[in-house]
Amino acid sequence: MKLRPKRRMVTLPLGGAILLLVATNAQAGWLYVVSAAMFGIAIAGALIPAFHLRGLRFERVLPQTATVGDALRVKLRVVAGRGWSRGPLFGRDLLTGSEVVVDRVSSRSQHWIHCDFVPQRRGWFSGGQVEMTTGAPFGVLEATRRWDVSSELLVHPRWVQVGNLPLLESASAPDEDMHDRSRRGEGLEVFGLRDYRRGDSIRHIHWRSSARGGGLLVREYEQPPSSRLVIFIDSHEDIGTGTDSTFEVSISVAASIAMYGLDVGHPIEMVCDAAPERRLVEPGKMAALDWLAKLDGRKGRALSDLVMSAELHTLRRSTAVLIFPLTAATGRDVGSAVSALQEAGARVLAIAVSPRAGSADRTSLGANDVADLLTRLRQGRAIVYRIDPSRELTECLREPLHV
Amino acid sequence: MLARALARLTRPRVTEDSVALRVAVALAVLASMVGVVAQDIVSGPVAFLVLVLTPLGFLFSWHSRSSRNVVVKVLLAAGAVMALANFLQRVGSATSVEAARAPLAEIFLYVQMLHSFDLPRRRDLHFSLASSITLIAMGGSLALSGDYVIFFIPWGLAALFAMHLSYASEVAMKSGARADVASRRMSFAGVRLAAAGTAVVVLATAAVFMLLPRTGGSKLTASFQLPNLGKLLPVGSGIVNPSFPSLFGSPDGPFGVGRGGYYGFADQVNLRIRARLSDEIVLRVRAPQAQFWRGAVFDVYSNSRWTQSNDRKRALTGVHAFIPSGPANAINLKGSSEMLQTFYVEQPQPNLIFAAYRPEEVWFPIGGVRVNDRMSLQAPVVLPPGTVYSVLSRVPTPTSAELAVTTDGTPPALASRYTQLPPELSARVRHLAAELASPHPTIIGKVDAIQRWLQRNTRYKIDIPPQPRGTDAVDHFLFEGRRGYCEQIATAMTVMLRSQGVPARFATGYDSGHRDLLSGYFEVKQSDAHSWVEVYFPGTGWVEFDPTHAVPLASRGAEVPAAAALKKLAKFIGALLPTGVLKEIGGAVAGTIGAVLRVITSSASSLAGGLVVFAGLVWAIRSGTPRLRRAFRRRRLLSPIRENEPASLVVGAFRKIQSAGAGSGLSRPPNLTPKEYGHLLKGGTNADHDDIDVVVGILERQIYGGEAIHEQEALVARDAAMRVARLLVEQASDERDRALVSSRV
Repeated sequence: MKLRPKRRMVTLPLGGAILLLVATNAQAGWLYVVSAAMFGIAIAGALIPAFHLRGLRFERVLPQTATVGDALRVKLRVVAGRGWSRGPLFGRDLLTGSEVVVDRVSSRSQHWIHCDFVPQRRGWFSGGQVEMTTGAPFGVLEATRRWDVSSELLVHPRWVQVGNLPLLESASAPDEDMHDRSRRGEGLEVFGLRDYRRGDSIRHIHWRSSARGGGLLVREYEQPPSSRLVIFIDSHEDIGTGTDSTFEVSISVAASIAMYGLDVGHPIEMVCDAAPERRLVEPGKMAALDWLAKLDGRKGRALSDLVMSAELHTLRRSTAVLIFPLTAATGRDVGSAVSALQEAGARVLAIAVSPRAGSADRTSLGANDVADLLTRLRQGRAIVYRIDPSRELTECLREPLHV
Repeated sequence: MLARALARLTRPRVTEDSVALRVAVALAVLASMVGVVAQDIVSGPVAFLVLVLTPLGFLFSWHSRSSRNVVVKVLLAAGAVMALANFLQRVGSATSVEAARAPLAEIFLYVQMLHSFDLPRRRDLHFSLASSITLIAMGGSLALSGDYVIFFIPWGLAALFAMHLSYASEVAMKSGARADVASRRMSFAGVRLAAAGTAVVVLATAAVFMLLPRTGGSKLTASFQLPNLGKLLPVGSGIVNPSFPSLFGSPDGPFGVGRGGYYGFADQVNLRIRARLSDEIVLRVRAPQAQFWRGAVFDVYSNSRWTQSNDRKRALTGVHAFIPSGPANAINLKGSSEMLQTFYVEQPQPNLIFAAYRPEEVWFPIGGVRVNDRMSLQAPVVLPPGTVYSVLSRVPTPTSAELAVTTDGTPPALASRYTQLPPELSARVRHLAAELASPHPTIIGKVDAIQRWLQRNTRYKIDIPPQPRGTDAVDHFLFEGRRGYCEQIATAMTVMLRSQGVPARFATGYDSGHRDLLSGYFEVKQSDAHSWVEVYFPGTGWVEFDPTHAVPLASRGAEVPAAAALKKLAKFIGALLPTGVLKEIGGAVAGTIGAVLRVITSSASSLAGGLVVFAGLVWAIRSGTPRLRRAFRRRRLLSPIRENEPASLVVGAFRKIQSAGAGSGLSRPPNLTPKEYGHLLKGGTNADHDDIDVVVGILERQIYGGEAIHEQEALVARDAAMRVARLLVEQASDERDRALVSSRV
C-alpha cells in the first residue's frame, strides 16, 4: 500500500503547532483544544484511508473477445467486507486503463462500477490489476492499493469489409488450370465407373451399367477444382511501431481478406512465422481472428523461405495472398516467392504494405525501388495491391494496381 | 501586470457546484463567528452586520459562482481596504496587545463576511474554512469557561463534514464527473461515514489534548476591565467584604452562622463563626498550575480570633507595580519559580487581590494597590464582577533537604512575632505539641508529626455546632470536638507549631479550584474559600502547608472505598512517572480517574436523575434513529431521476420503481424479469397498474427489443416511475401509521 500525504497533512499540524504556541503563551485552554483538534484531524485523516482499502475484493466482467475499436462496457464488481462504509474511492482499472469513482460502498455489500473501454490494439489482455486510491474521509493522506483481478480478453485485429477480390473461383478458373489433369475426388463431375467394393455407398451404384455388365458398378467423381485461399503474412521485417507498424497493418489486411474469403465460401489457410502455430488450416471466422489476434512480434523467416516451407504441391488451383512490407529485404525476396507459387499452380495476390509516413527507416524501400518492384510483380502476372496507411484499407483493396 | 491580472480574471475556472459542501462551510463559518460574537468583544451592530450578511454572501456566491463578478470583486476589495483602515485606526489607539483584540476580531469577522460573497471555487471555500479556524481559535482564546463547547462542537462537526464533502467533490472532479455528483448524494450512509470519521477524530483529539505539553506562558497579561468605575466607592485601609456582614466580623459580634460569604476575608477571623458557602463560581484563574490564591494573612492569635498586628500598608503606584518584599519575606530564588496568574472576577469580591505567594508584580486596572508586610495585597475598591487583574508570583519550590532545617537562623524579630501565643492557651495544647514535635529536630519533622496526628485524630466536618462560650477554639477542637474544618485545623497546627518555637502564620484565601478541562481556567467556587498555614524555614522563607487536605472526612460513609483505592493508585502511578510529558500523562490519567470517580460518587446521590436522563437518551436514540433513516430513505426514493440519456433514463425509471418497491417490502428477487416484477408490484401494492406497465413496457422494448427509445418516451417512463414511487412511499408511510395506531390501541 502506498501512502501519499496531501497538502492538508502539512497545513493541519502546522496550524496546530502555531495554535499550540499561541496557547502556551496566552495560557488559553480552548486554544489547546483547537490545536489538539487540528492534530487530531491530521492523525485520523492519516489513519482512516488505509482502513477504507481493507476488506475489498474486485471482480471484472468483460466479454471474452472484442475487435480493435469496439466500445466495450467493462463491469467491475467491488465487494466490501465488514467494517466501515468506504468511499469515495478513486480507481484505475489497469487492464483497460479506465478511471472510475466509487461514491461509497457500504460494509458487507457490493457495488458495480461500469467503465467504457475501447481497445486500441489487438492481442491478449490478461491479468490486470485494479488500483484504488482514497483519502476519505478528510483528504489528509491518500492511500493507494492494488488488487490482482484475473480477466482475459482477446482483441481481434481490425478488419474491413472487402468489396471484391479476384480469388480463384472454381467456375471462373482458366481452362489450363481447371482441366489439364483430372483426379478422383469428392466433386460433382463423374470421373468414371469401377467395380463395387464393400463399403461403397449404395447411392453411388450405377444401376444401368451394373445391369448391363452383370456386376455392380459404382460411379467415381472428379476431385473438385480447389478454391483454397492461402494467406502468407511476412513477419521478417517490420517498419514503424505500435498499431501503425507495417506488421499490424498486414494483420488487418490478412483479417479482412480472410473474412472475405470465408464469406464467399473459400476454405482458407494462413501462414505466418510470428505465431506459436505458424500454420492455420481451414479455420472458421472466429478461429481465424483468434489466430491473428495472437500473432506476436517475433521475427520470422524471409518471405521466400516462408513460401517454400509451405506444401507447394497442395497449392495448385489455389489463390495465394502474399502480404509483405515494402522493405529492401522483401523487395529482393518477393519475386522468387511469387514465382514459386505460380509454378505450383496458384494465383498470386501480392499485397505490399507501405510504412506510415514518418516511420520509414533505412530498411524501407525508396520510391523508385517500390515502383520497380511493383512493376516487376505485375509483369510477372501477380495481382498487386498497395496498402497506403494514409488511405482507408477498404479503398486500398478495392482495385489492384494496373500495369 | 494589468494584462496579466486581466488574463487571470478572464481565465475559465472550475466552479464548485456542491450545495452540501457550501452549506457545511457556511455552517462552520457561522459557528465560528457566533463563537467570537458571544465573547462580547465586538459591538452589537458589528455582530448583527456580519451574522446577517455572511449567510447572504454564501447564497450570493452560490448563485453567481459561474459569473466573473468583476464589479463585486472591486466592491469587496474596497470593503476590505475600509476594514483594514478601520483596524489600523483602532489598533493605533490601543495601549496594549490585549486592547488590540477587539479590532483584530472585528477585522477577522469583516474579512470573513466579505469573502463569503465571492466563493466560486473549492479553494475559495477552503480559505473560508481555514479562516473559520482562526475565528474559532480567537473565540476560544477569549472564552473563560467550558461553555464555549456549544460553539466549538457545531463548528467542528461542520468543518469535518466540509472536509469530507470537499474530498468527495475533488474525487468526483478527478474522474471528470460533475463536481456535485458525490456530494449531492449525501445519503444516510454518507453521513454515517463522515460520522465514523468524526468519532475517530474526537478520540485522536482527546489523546493529543492529553499529551500536549503545558508549559508556562509568557508575561501576557489580560485586558484590564473594571466595569462601572463611576459607581465604585473607595474603601479604607481595612478589608471590606461585601458578601459578609461586618457584624459577624466584629470583636464583640455574636456567635452564629453567616450565609453567603467567607468570614476569613476580613481584618480578623473569628473561629466561633460558622459560615455556609455556595458552589457558585466566584473567580476564574488562568494559571499554569494549581496554587492557593492567597488573600489575607494573620499573625496574632487570641481569644479564638486571628488578627493582624501590624496593619500598615505600602501603597504601590501605577497600573503595573513591582511589589517590594522585604527581608521577612525573602525567599530562596533558586528554589522558586515564576508563575503568572490572571484573575477574572465573576462574583463581588472583597478588596483583596488574591494571588499565589509570593507576589512580585501586579497589574491592576486602576492601580492604587497596597501591600502589607505579610505580602497580602489589597485593592483600593471592592472588586465587582468583570474585574480582571494579573499577578506575577515567585512560588517557592524547596527541596526536602532545604526544608530539613532547624529554627536556628530565624531572625529574632520574625521569631518573636510569629511564635506569639495567647497566655491563656491551655497547657494541654502545649503539652500535646511538645509531645508530637520534640522528637523531631527539624522544622519539617515537627510539621509532619503534627499533620500526621491531626490526620489520625481529627475529622473534617463542615457543619460543626457553634463553639461553646468560654472555650478556646484550639483547645476545644483538639481535645473535645475533634471535628472541624480548615479554620480549626489550620489554627490548631499554627498554634502547636508556634508553641514549639516554629514561626508560623494563618493564611486565608481560595483553594486552586477545579481546572476546567477545556478552557484551562481554574474555576474557583465560593466553597473553595480556605485557610492554611505558612511556616518559616530559615534560608527558604515562608512555605505553605495545608493540614486540612490530610484530614479525613468525618462521615467516612460518603467515601467510596474502591474510589479511594483507585485514587491512591492513580496518585501512586503519577508519583512514579518521571517529569515532563510522562508526568503530564500521569496527571491527566489521575485527573481523568478522579473526574470519573467524582461523577460516579456524585451520580450515586442523584441516581434517579441519571436514570431519567439515560432513559431519555435511549428513547431519543431508539425512536430518533429509525425516523431519521426513514426520512433519508423517503428523500432518496422521491429524489428525481438524474439521467440525461434516454436509455439511462428508462433504466433509471425502472430502478426507481424497484427501490420504491423494496421500501414497501417487495424487493425484486433476481429470478424475476421486469414484467414479472411488475406483476408482483401490481398485486402487492396500490400503485397505478398503467404506470407500472408503461415503465416495464418501455424498458423491455429497450433491452430485449433493441429499440432506441425516443427522449419523449423516456420522459414518460420517468414521470410514470416517479408517480409509482410517490404512491409506494405514501402507502408505506400510511401502513406504518396504521401499525402504530393499532399497537397503541
